[in-house]
Amino acid sequence: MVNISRRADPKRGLIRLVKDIRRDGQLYVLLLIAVAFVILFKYAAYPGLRIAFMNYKPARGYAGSEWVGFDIFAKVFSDKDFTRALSNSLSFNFLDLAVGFPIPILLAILLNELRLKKFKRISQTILYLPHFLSWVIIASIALTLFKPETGLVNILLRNAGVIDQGIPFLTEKWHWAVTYLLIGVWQGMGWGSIIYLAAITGISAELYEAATVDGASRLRKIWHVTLPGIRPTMVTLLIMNLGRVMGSNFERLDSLGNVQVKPFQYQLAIYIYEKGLAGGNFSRATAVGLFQSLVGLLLVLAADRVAKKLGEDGLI
Amino acid sequence: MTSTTQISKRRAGMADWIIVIILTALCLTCVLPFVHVAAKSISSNTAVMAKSVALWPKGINIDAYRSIFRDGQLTHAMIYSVWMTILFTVIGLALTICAAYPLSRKRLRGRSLFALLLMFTLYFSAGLIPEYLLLKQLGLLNTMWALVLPLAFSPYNMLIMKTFFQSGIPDSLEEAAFLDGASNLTILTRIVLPLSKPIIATLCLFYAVGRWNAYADAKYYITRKALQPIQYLLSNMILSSGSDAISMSESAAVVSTPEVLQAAAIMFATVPILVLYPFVQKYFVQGVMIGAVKG
Amino acid sequence: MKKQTRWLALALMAAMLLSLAPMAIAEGPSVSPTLPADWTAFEQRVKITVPVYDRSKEGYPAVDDNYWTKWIQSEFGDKWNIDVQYVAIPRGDVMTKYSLLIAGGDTPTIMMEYDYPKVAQWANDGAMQAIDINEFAKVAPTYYQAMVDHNQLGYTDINGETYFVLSERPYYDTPFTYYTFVRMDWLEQVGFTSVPKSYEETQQAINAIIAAGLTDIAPLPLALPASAYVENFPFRDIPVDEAEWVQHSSLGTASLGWYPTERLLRRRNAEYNQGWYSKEFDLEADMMGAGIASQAMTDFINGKSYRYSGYMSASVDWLKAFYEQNPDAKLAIESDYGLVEEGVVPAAQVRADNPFGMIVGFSSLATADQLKAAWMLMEWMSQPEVLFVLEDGVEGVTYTIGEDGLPIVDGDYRGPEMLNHNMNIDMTCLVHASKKVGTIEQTIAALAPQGLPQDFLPEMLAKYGELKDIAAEGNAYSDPIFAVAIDAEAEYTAPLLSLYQEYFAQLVKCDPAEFDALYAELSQAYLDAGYQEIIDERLAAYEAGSTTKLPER
Repeated sequence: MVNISRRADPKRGLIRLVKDIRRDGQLYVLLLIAVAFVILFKYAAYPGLRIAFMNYKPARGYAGSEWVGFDIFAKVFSDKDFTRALSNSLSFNFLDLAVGFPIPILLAILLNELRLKKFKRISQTILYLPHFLSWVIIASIALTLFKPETGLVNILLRNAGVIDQGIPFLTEKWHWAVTYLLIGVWQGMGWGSIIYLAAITGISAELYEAATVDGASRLRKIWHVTLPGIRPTMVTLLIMNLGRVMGSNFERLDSLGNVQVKPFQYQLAIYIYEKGLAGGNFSRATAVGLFQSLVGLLLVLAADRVAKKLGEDGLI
Repeated sequence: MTSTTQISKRRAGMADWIIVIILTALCLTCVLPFVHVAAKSISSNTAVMAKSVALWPKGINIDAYRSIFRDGQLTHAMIYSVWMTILFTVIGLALTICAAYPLSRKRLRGRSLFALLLMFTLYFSAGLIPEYLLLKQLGLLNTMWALVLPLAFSPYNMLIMKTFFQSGIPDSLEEAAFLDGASNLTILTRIVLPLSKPIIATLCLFYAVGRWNAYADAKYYITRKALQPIQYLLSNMILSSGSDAISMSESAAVVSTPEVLQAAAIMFATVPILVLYPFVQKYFVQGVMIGAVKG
Repeated sequence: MKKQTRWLALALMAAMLLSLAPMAIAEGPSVSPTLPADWTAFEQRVKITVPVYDRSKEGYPAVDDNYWTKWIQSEFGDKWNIDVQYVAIPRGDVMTKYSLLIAGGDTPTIMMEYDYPKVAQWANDGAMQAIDINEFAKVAPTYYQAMVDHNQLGYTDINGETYFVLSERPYYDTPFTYYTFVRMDWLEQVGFTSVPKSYEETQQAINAIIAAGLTDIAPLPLALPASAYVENFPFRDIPVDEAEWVQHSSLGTASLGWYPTERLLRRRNAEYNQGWYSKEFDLEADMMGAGIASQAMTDFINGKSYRYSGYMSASVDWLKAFYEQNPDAKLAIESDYGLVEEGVVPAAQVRADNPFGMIVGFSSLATADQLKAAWMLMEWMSQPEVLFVLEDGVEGVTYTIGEDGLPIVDGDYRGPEMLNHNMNIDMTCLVHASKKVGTIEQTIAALAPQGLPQDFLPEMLAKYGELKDIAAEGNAYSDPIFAVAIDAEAEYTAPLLSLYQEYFAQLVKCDPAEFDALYAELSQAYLDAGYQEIIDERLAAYEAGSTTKLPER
């Protein structure tokens, strides 16, 4: 209705627009502070992305380096190492998302359902500890536990007679994939649940009350009150994380990997390091980064659109 | 008060015990690595090199900590990092509120455009060299601001806060205030922010922990040692000290920091940020309690 | 609550201010070295920036602002109106840091590195300026004379222009700082009276140790190569073909596809299949890089493995730990002759270091005055009197004079005057790669580990004698140096190293019967992955006369 009348009377629409903007003047001022900040510290660096189209040498600068057009992209896309890294990155990050996304939600709900106050506080604090361990430390502990011959877990299992031969948690690529994913989930679950715990606090108490009056069981309350209450947060995080399916954490891959699992370990983060930064090839590193960004952004925008179609708020 | 008494009256059921068992198991896996590092930090270097320290220290001594507290660089970096993290968190939070609140109001004209403009930077980074040159132009290299300003606005945190404002604060509340003649700013500071304590606390934690744990930017943007944060010193101590490749080109011993000292340094640099969480937790527990009481 | 926060903030601020308060101005020993008579102080203050490695070792002062940087400023800078500023370069990421400094126009006045390909790249890309070596000789005669004395003038040019001056590396052809220790008590138990002097003896010894069950794990340590250096010197023919040497002998890229590497890998494979090495050796490549005790070190300390090696110094923590765990054990230093086997290893051969330490160049942005000021710093630092203070510190505080009249540095001193990493080596590296104390015997004595049940000095001296013999026979030589930048190296070094690690593991672990086929396949894949390009470029440089030659035999 509103739209139709606006179209019918452009002048009235304009007046409304001015009125709306004037009414929210303070909001625009706030918004512009943030926008100015982002322009100054982020957008102002974007012209530098042109090094993806140059043979950039630090000593010659932007001005002195020669333009090469799409040569670098052409070289990257025809490199079979790149294709391998790309497909590994995509599969592993989707798996990471598939496993890593629901676990923090489950954990938050478990913590929320817990009635032992002290236990709840302490366990929350403990669960987020792994977030503070660097990957190098985690990897050295993982080695001690999971080596095929001398790892503690395999020794225990062998002594218990469960297995005859060590399980190659770290040395056979499929086993490694599972180990890698689970360690990632373990490291991030406590930290990831914090945001949902915060969201749960925003759920109105009346909803729980009403559910109790209706005689709902605990599970039903989770299903009908808690989950819908945190759905906006879930949707927001899911969409945002989709944009990250191209990038992986170099330190995590580098520390947990080894030569036997290289077919899976070789992902874009490693590719960028080995074929870009380590050789001082900033142009190639930037080009691959640009490609990653583009794909990530497209995925997010697509997901956002789908979410809106489904009646969610979306990001934008 | 009423909430706690009510809960203690209720008997914990089967479900509660199952939850307790699951969580206890999970907690053990999370806490043991820390206990391991802590045990190493108060063991003798020999025992640690022989890998004979698991969860209980051997050859107990606190020399490593003594050495760390005597180390002028580390203690200086610690104070500096605390100070910088506080500043970063305050600025970051202020910017996030500035952006998130207006964007959460659906009536705002041009909202999608602004949202896209701000969110874009989450996925698009210009890369190391361009960002470095930008900071150089802005004259921020080798200042504390190089570590504070570029990361201070996090689109990720902004979106989280926006979602919270949208779903957690009823529109009716705001409309009522509007009718009473309150301005947008008054509504934000008097109504919205007080109701958003849990999310503000959470984002405080996110900003503080994020800054505390990050060190890659310090590696590149800061050359002066006096301006380097504690995590950067720590990462250098752990990562780059003893590489064989370096020894080969130098043809000299590249002695690495003993593992005991590394463990002590890890504890030293991690404990200050760990104690932040209980403060944040307070806000969760309050909210959850209200829900639980009535449920 | 609010009050508390405010107090906390105030307390923090106060603490901040206190910690930032300037340290007491250094008052170090005063020096008055003999300097060229025509030096004059600059009329306007000249600022130079000098890189210094930042190793972030616990317990050391900031590398760019400490007692010794202040001392240099007051003893040298203030006298000649020069502002000497040190720039910390993280040791683990030298190239990126330099790239950023260069990109931002902050190139340090002096640029230096131990690896020739890196400086060659800088010169080639225009980050360094060409210099007039005669001008340099005028400003810094002592430094220049040292270069002449050590035969270094052949390494100063890239692309036909002079870019570099070079610091000294004392005793470069007898690498006397690195030693391998073996379990002498085990050898005695299986009937040996001395360490094996041929590969046949080595094999007998190890297999006897395994048979006797002296350890319940694989007796020898093996790890994935963490650097591209292949220990294939002993496996080369004598004399080695010069063109092949130019193509393959390098620290930067592993020479998979060259026959000495094949011989080495074949031997490792045979040894692996006799049970010498752990089946899990390939899980740990970089753990030492992470400063975390490697499995190999741990096994040795726990008395379970035969051999471990490392650089020596007065205090070697793994040796100390070894004797604490195994008080009755006896160690010996391994001989280079233990590898010799006819047809595979013709004689003991070792890799000599580069005949220079730091390769020093100068920023393309430096003005004539800055250039001169940098050269003056180098000349001043070359003076024995200055070097002595920088490397030993303050008498009675950081060192005392021993019975032999030589200084004994107190490594545990932690006061303000403490010397930085390895006796300020990251400053004095501008002049030489290691501290010289009197004669070579005295230098080695200063390296001998102290406070152990065994005194290793006699064995270390014997080992040095062995190295001197090998060098005298012409069997110790360096890698080639290129007077042009090899572009393919920069491009492929990192991916080739990771490929080599992968193939190394496969080739060592495979069934000996399959070794030949696998080797052919993998070395071809390695060539295709970029190694062929590198060796082609190196060969072209050799044919154009832009490389060093093998020393005359």
